[in-house]
Amino acid sequence: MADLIVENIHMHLGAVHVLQGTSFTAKRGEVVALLGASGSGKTTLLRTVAGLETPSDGHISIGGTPVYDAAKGTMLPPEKRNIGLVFQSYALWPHRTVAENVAFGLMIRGVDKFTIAKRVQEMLDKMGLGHLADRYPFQLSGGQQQRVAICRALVYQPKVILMDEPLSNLDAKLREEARYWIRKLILELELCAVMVTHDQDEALAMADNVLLLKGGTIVQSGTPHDIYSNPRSRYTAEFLGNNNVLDGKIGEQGGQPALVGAGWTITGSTPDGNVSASGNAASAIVRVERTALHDAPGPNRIPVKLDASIYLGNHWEYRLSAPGVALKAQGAVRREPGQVWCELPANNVWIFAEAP
Amino acid sequence: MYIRKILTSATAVCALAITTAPMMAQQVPEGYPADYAQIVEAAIAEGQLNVYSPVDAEQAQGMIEGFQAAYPGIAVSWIDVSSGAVYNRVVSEAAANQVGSDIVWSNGLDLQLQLVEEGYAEPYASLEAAAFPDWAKYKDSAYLTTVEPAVFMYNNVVFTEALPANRKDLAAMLTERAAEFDGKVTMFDPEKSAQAFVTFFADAGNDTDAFWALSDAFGAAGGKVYSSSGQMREKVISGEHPIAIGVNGAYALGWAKKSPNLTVVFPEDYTIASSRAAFISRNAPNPNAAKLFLDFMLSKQGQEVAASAGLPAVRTDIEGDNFDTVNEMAGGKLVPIKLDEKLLGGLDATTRSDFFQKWQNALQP
Amino acid sequence: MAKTHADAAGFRWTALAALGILVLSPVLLILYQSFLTGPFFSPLSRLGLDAYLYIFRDPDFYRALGTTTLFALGTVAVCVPLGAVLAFLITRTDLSGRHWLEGIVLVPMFLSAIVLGFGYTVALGPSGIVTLAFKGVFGDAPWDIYGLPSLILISGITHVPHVYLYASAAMRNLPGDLEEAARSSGAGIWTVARHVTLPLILPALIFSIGLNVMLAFEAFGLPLVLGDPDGVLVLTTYIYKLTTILGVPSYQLMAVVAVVLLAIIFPLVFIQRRLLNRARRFAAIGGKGARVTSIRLGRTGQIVAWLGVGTWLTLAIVMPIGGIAIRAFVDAWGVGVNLFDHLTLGNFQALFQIDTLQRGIINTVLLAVVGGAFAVLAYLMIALAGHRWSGWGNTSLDYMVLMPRALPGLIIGLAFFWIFLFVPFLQPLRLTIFSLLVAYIIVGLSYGLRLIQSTLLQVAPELEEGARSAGATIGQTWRKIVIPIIRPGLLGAWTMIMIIFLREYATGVYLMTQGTEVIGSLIVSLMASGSLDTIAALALISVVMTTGGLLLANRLGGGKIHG
Repeated sequence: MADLIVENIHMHLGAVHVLQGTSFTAKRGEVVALLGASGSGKTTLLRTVAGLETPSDGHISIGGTPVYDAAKGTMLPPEKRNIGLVFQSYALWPHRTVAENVAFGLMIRGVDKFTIAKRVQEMLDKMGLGHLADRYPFQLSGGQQQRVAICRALVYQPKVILMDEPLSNLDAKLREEARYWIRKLILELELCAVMVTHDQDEALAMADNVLLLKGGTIVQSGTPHDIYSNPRSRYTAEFLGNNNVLDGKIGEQGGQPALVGAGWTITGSTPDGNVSASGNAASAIVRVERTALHDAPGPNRIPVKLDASIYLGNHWEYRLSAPGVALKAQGAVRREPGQVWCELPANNVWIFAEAP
Repeated sequence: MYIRKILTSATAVCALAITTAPMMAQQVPEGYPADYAQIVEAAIAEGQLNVYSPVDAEQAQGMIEGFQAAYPGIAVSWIDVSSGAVYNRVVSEAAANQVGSDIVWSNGLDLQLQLVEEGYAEPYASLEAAAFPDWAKYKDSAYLTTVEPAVFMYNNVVFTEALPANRKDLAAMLTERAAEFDGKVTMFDPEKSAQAFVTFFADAGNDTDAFWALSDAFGAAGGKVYSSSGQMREKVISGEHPIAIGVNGAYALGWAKKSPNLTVVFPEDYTIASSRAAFISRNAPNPNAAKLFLDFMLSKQGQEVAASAGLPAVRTDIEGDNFDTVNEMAGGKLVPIKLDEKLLGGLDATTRSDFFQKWQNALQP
Repeated sequence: MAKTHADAAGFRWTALAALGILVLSPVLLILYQSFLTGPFFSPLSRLGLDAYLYIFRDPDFYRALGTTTLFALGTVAVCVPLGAVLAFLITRTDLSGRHWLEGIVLVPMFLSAIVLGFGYTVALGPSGIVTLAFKGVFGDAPWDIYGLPSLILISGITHVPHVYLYASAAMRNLPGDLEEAARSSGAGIWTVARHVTLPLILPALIFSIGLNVMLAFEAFGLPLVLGDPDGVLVLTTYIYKLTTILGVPSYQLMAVVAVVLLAIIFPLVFIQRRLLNRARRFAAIGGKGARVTSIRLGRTGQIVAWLGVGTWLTLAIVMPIGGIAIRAFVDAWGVGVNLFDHLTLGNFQALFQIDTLQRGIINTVLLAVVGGAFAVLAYLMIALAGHRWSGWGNTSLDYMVLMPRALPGLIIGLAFFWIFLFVPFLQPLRLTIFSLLVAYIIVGLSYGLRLIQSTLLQVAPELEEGARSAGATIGQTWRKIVIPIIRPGLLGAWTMIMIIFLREYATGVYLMTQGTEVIGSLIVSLMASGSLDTIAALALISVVMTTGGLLLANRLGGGKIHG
């Protein structure tokens, strides 16, 4: 059974319709990532779940309890929702020590002093913060602060843990570590977690279910693998991954949809099912890592000029061009500039017709 | 002020020595009817007296000490209220049935009389009334207690000539040498001080031509107005405005004694004397103490205490400054403001606005 | 939308209602009084527009209105640029001695205007000590402290702290990199100030302009002391004049002028709010790591800056305070007076002999220290009630808070005198210092509340949201998180309010009675009876107490807020 149900949430900020009927569910031992560019409404959605924003319509229930129901006029305040919230800035209280920060939720719940001390210490020990209990937040490093913030949100065993860009204030190395251990912790504790992020790597690495938001609606949701390899819209396709975009006119070749350019034609699929009349403007999107270079022509190959090879440490990136076309490809070796053929494998080419 | 302080306390000590002995058993003052003892007894039972007055506590200290020496056991609360605010408080408190004052003693004579007329005063025929002339009494309710001549005062270091001692000559001098005296003269402000209005209104009533001639000359010389004698003193003594017109002589004489730089001139043509009127409030919380205090203020002793605190007495049968001695200084030309209906004329809207219209015109350079 | 009471709606509306009663009762009383033909308590009074007709037909009213407008605009024209420059120099440059200056520049703000005006006459008046010395050397002194131009200049100079306070706060919050970016692209220091700093602190400046216009409209002390002898009439001195000009005090006329003041100030507040709403959009202020780097002035820069700052310090602080200090220890001054012959401690003698004056000093301290603490508590309640509260409740709170600002203290004092006199259950409190406290809390409301609101805003919303999501109600969040975090700010606010209460004078004029005397109002009433010796002594004591308060404020208010 789903521990968090969000149904058809609408919200207006002034004249702006920031959430336009979003729905999703999440259950124990699962991480849901709300992914989107800034302004997509992902943080607002998280805050409506937390009870920090009041939607204008819809229904939310946590652990089977309706916490918001527009029809019934239910709107539980944050403190009644039994949630844990981790902020981007961590929001540790500057006047309380680490232990006091973590103890707060237990204290509010009227837990006795002895139990509080025990559980706080257990929690801190688990996170490797046991020796820092008496420090004040400003005496900690960023990574330590983040772990304290997570301890604080978990110690009272909330039904749902909500995380707003939990990793964005960490440096790159720490971030990669944190992705791993936070996910591990959530699975271990069988928590139901919702996180907001603008970083696709983070979403793909941590989540069981990724929700891509745009303009207050969920464009697509699914497992990381599914959303990455089977985008159903141009937005999803372009938002994720590192992409080549080709512009041309829609056509057909061998019963398959194709994109026709100046002297080239590539076949592919139309994931959004929008097969426009031939001759209409369309674009093809191909992941860079699926693009290969060849020395001879072939199916789905475009003749291009190799302009430069750029060394990126673990691989080389090739910059390719043809009239009206700019492409990228990757390889293990340096290549000399010159005439090459760039292959865009048909099963990796997504063709999207321009919106009429 | 320092000297006056010592004098005040000395008088208070004397008063204590004289009065305590015969008053031990709440005996009545000499010459009072025997049944006065009942009032004294009731007053002591009340044990409290509230006076509303613009006379600040500092000046009233002698009076309070004298009264308490005469009638031990009555605490005196001296509530320092400006003359405009006295009227407001009395009227508002009466309307709210919260009368707090027993005695109201103020130099805003017109407003005092207005309060009596509107029924805010409790009539009381003081046993000392006989010693007061008719002009100092009103309907057995209000009594004038002091003689405060309006005088000229100048700084003899800055202005080294002899100041003309009558209105017309002073006016002539200011007009003829207007440029020289530009901004050098100050006058009491009738628009802001009730006492100044009462005095000038009486002055204009006594000799219209002379008063307005002087006011016009004052305006021509770009004179500045202030709302209290103390501010005028400050300006005269600092030399900012070396010449002042309409200063309260009761204060000025004391200041001149302390600062040899100051010279006080009683206008020879005539000197208007203002005063302070006292009455008992209707529904006073301590009516007996109020009677006692009013009688004390008007008694020989009370008048002497006031005189030694720098407020010359109306009664002439006392030691210290009184109407006669002040009149003598004024060359016999002292014109006291009478406590009668004529004062109320000054509160009439048309009369008042005519006066201020003239005053405004006079002030235009 | 149905809301649970967990968002503290009950508390918020109760606080709003309490504030409404406290603020609206005097305002409505004054409004009612303005439509009567006599005192509201007189059975003879009728409803009518007579008072309005009288005022609107009185040429003096228009003269006063015109002068007041000119005075307000002039004050703003002087104090806003000066205050902004001073704030820039102190917060953004390496001006030497700036840390020491920070406390000092606020001093004029904490002196009562009457005391200031009095100090100026002694120092710079026609026979002032400085004027005479200047004349002795140069033959003539080319200034005249009376009249409208001087009044505007002095008012402007002494209102500089009111701009500095807000401008410097805004400048401190600016991330230094914005300026560095401009400087590295080759802009000079003044170009940076004009094109980068100025637009970013515009909201603070707009606020100060509005505030100072309001302060100028209700200014009483300076116009009374420096304008009145010259016949310069502003609306507040016009009110004062109305009390005697008709003989019997005409409250309905005073009330009309008060209503006019409200009618002028309210649109101003409205415009100010609109401008601020628009300006806030541009004030993109970074939160994290806003490190402030000082701009180097260089040798010439230091000298030029100090010449300016020094001149201002001399005019705004040294002159008036020096004047008062000297006057307190002499019994005569001016032309032909050798101050050394007139040195005396006699002025202070009265303070030891007269109960009223002693009580005045004790009451003033009591009201400032204990009353100030109560005021902080009251303002904190109101500030919390409006904290992160949107909707018309909060808007009406904002306007109500500004209402007393538009009314002169004298009028508020008079209204409270009546309220304590005529409301039965309040009557016993009238003769206690409590009545003054209530009036003071209202008079200090807009200033004190703003102090606390700005401290509250320093608490990042996540800190509160974190507590809410961890299970704390709004009340618990305020008690356990918000208030402990702003504690240093509250202490700072307390000392500031203490100082404001120390200097207040107009409010007590009608309200004070035996046993509830306060220094400020005693000075006003002594002014009427003319004991300038005593006034000088009281004024000096008040200045000394204020300085003590400021030193305390510097120590207590220094706490930094993390997070």
